[in-house]
Amino acid sequence: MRNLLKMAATAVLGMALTTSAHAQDWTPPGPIKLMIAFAAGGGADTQARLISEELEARLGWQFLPEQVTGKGGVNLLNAMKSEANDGTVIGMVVAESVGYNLYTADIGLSPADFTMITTTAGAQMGIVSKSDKGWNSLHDVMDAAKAGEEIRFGVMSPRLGDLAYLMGQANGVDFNIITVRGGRAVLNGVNAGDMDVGFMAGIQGGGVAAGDLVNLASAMAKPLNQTPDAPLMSEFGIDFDGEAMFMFAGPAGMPDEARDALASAIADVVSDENTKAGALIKRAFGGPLLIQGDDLSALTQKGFDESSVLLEAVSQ
Amino acid sequence: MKKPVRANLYLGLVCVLFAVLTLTVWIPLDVKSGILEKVRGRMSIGDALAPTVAASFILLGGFLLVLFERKASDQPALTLKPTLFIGRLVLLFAVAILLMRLLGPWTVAFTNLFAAEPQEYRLLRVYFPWKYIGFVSGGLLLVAGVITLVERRFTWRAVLTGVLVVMLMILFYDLPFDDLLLPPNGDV
Repeated sequence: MRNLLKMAATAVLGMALTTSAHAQDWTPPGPIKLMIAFAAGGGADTQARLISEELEARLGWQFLPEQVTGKGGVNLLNAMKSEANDGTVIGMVVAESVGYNLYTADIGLSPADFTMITTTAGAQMGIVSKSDKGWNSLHDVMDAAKAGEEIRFGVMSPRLGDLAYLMGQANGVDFNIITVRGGRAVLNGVNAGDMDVGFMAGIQGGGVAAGDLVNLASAMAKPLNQTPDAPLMSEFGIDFDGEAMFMFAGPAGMPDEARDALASAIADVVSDENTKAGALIKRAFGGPLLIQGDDLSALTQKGFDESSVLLEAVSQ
Repeated sequence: MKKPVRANLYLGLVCVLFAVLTLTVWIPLDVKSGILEKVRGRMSIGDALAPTVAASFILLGGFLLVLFERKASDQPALTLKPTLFIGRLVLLFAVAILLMRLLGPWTVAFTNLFAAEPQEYRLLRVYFPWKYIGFVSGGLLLVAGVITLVERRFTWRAVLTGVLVVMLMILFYDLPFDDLLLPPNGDV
C-alpha cells in the first residue's frame, strides 16, 4: 500500500513537473493583445495594466493593452471569440461577464467558447450604507423598509439589481433599485445621500475603516474580511453569490501549455506583494484569489447555468 | 423647358426607405428587448425605444419632404459634377483604407513565398518595418489623393505633403509610445 502511494505521489509530481516545464517553455509567438473590459484609468484597468507591465519586465513578453468596454464585458467576449487562440489574445473581465452577462446577452455564446485562464482577485462585495443612517446590519434596513421608509438601493450591474430585487421580495419589501455605472458611482450616490444602501465591491474599505460607512451585510457566500460579523446575504433568503472575481480568459481552443504558462505567470505576479500589481491587489482585495484550469471553467459554467434560475426567479 | 429640381423628393424617399427598414428589419433583428419591458416587476424603458424614436423622426422628416417640400423653390439641384466629386472622394477613401489594411499582410504573404518559415503579419505588426507598411502607403495615398482631387491636378508637392503628414503622425503617435499601435495594426 505504501509503495502504491509512493508510486502515485511520484506520478502526480512527475505530471506536475511536466506541465510546469511545458508552461515554462512556452513563449508567446508574438505580442499579446490584452483586451480590457473596464474603463481606462479605473481600478480594474490599472490592475490589468500593472500585471502586463510586470510580465513584460519579468519575461520579456510584449503586451498591447486596449479597452473593449460595454455590456459588462460581453462586448469584449464577442470581439475576442474569433481572435487567434494561440495565447496572443487574452482579455480581462469579471466572472459575471462569462456568466450572467453572457447569458442575458443571448448572442449564442457560452463559457465553452472561451478558454478560462485564471482569476486574480475577488472583490469584497458588501451591502453598504452611510453610518449616519444609524443602521448596523441589513436587518435594520429591512425593518426600516417594513416600517414604510423608501429604501433606494444602488447597484452597478443588472445581476446585482436582480439580487437586490429578490432580497426585497424574500423579505416582503420593495426596494427602489437604482442602476448606475460602476462601483464608484454607487459609493458617490451613497455618500451624497442619493442612495440609502448599495452594493460596493471593496471600494467601501476606506470609508468603513474611517467610520463613515457601514458594511451592513456580505454579498458573498463568505464573510467580509473587514467586518466578518456582518450577516451573509443568504440570511436574507438569497442563495446566489454576489462575489465579483476579476479574471483572464482567451478564445476557445487555446493550447494547454499557453493557458498554463499565462495562468502561472499572472499568478506569480499577483501573488508577489513586491510588485505594483500584487501590492494593489493586497491593498484593494486583501490578497489574490487564484482559481485556474478546470476549476475555473466549472465555476464560470455554473455561473452561466445559474443565470436562468436567477432570471426565472426575478420574472415571477 | 427647365427640368424640375427633385432633390427633396429623392432625399425624402431615401429617409422613408431607411426609416422603414430600420423599424421593420434592423431594430427587430439587432435589439433583443422591446420598446417597453417589465424588469423586476416594474415597467421599464427597453433598448429598442431610443432607436425606434429616432427612426420615427427620420420617417416623419422623410414624409414631410416627400409630401410638402417636393416642389419647394429653394431646394438645391443635384448635378453631375458634385455627385462625381463625392463619388471620387468616397472611392479614394475606400482604396486608401483598403491599402492601409491589406498591404502589410500582402507583403508578408509575398515574402512567405521565399521564406523557409512562413510568418503571420499579426505577429509582426509591432516591428519595423512591417508596422509602417500599411500606414505609410494608405496615409500617403489618402493625403496626396485628397489634395490632388481638390486641386484637380497632380503635383509632387501633394506627395511631399502626404509624406510629411505621415512622418509627423509616426513621430507623434508611434515613436514615443511602446504599446500604441498605428492603424491598421490594432485591428489585425
